[in-house]
Amino acid sequence: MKRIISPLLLSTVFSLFAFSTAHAAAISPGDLIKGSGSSVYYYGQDGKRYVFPNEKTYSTWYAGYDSVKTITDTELGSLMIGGNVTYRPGIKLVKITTDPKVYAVGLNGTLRWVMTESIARDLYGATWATKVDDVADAFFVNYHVGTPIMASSDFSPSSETAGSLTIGTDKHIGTVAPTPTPTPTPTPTPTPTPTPAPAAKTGTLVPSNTKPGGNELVTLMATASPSSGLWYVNVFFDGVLTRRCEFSPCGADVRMPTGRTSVDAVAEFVWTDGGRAQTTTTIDLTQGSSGAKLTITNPEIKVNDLREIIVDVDASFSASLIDIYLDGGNVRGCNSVQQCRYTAFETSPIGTTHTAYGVIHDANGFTKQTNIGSFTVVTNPRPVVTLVVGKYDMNAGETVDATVTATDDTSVLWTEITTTDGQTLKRCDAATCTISVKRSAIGTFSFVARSSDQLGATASATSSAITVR
Amino acid sequence: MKHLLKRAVATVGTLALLASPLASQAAVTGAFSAGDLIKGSGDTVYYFAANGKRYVFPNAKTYFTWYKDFSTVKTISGGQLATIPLGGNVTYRPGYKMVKITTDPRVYVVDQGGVLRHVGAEQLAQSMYGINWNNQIDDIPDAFFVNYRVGTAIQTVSDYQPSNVMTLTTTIGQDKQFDETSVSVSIGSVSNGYVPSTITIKRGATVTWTNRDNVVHNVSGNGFSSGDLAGGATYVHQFNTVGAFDYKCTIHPVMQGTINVVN
Repeated sequence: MKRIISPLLLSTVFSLFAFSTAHAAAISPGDLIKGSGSSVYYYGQDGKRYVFPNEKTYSTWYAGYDSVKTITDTELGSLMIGGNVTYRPGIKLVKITTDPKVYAVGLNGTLRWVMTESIARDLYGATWATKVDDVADAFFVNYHVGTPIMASSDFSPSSETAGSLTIGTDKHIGTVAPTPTPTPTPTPTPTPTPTPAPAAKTGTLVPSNTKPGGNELVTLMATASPSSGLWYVNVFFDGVLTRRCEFSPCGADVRMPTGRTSVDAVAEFVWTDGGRAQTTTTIDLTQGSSGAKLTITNPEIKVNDLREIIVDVDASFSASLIDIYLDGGNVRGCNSVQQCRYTAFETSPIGTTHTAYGVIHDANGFTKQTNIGSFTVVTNPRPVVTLVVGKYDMNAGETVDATVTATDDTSVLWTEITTTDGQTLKRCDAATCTISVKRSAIGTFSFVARSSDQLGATASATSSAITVR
Repeated sequence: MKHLLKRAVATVGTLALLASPLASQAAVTGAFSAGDLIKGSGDTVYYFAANGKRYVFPNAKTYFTWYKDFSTVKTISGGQLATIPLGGNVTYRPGYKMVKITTDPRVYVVDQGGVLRHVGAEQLAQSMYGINWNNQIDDIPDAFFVNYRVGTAIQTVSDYQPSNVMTLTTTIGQDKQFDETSVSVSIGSVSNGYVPSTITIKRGATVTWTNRDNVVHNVSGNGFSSGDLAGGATYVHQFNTVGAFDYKCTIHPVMQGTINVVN
């Protein structure tokens, strides 16, 4: 509390000039005004007066008090207060009393976190630390937090300052519809200027595992070429600055996200002579690790039917926790079992496609992740067809068995078994159909099982290739 | 401003006197809940809200419209305090006093949510706050006017009854209309852990964890698990049974927390 109020003490500075101007003056928008008291206000284009919360805020905008016009207290009192003035963009770095982050100030009081010390040095020079002002907690509400500054190229103090010549332009005072400032897009890496035979500056970013699974630890190795004269390397993983080195090669250990198919890593290289290079590596995440299985009982489902998602893990992995995720949200957690089952009534509208996967943890913090499966809400689910083949490798002249089984929410009208060459082998007016086939021709073929329900919805399943020798 | 300055100095004196005995005896805790008052290593006191943010008392006068003293303030570490984002400023308790802005002659009553309603006539002020109504007005510094909104003016006595208004709004949570059935926990760095690490909620409430760190953490407990949360990611879980639910981050098992669910 003591600290909050102390910035107000600085306002003694204001009283020094309180008696210098005595008579009322005509004022126009953009003027600085005061009454008989010492407080100075910015008179906005909207006819309201804006408060300087403290002297430091004032000094980012004005060098002295010469231009302040004095009006009567009645006139001052009749002007509504419009809000508080914030720091002029680009002039200073600020921090909130009880938050260790250092922010640069953008337009209209946007605070942008300066993520590393070297960015601060880049933008505000070696003495950047002397340019950091504390903003009292109670004035934090006048600011809003924007996107962090991850690289020096994200922010330019001088152009921010130049873009806000007056408090009116900074705050869009008087403009009808203040359009939100677009997030500055990171400046593309400048291509090296072709000075006499420059050594091409490049860098590589190589993951230790090119096909990792979810939650796996991977080392990203960023290597600069040439490594001499390198100033720093920033390694970003999934948009977050993960490691910064002032040497090369630079290794960063990162944990792969779960429930995703790929993730991007970026290395940004900066040399002391101003040369820059950037490289992006997309890491494809392997879906499914051995022993972890996802079963979705009904790939098609009607509204009010039961949806069922089952995650199994084999005995090689001792599960302490199995989590089932549906549409990205954790819907079920099972402790100390090798199987976890989630069951719920389907309530989504027709046409909805749900995605699901399981994550299995053991007591030591290791995890496995299943495939990502999906199921769809339909008016009439097609039959679920399963095909079992006796063997996949046979000698010419031998017989092979194939069985089709179909299940459906209404009832199964027929099932049939064909081969990939289009030959219908057998059709049964039942939910199960079995056949024994003798093959003499050498080569490969597959069985195809088909089924239809009473409403005419059909489905099929194809077996793996069977080799005949 | 000079005027304000004197007030500010007087205020600092009052607060420091009251706060210093407290500081010497308070042990640092990680256990606090929505609606609690908290402070870090400094003297500044904050209101910890259900949305997981801390709210600033812009000055001592605002504090004393809500609380008599500092006896309920819980002390947490500076790192934990910094993990909790600032939400905004607390405004005067509705009905407690009338207010005016330093450089604006109008007198206002305070309604729920920091809404100022202009009192246009002396007899209105008198019927609401008695014959000594002019002793019931506090000055709000210009710089804190931005925390309030101006609503409709008071036309008749029946528009506003200070005692009724005070009874209707007894907590800052009610004043700001926080949803108390949905509380938030911040996930800080490994050393700051979950903030608060122990929180008490009502049965049926949901807890939202937000990873405010820049490395991956998770929330893993008996029957609930977030999976990995990157910086900025959130996880929501509803607690429908009474009990104490321990959880931890499986990546950094030193990070541990407890949700106490009560009826």
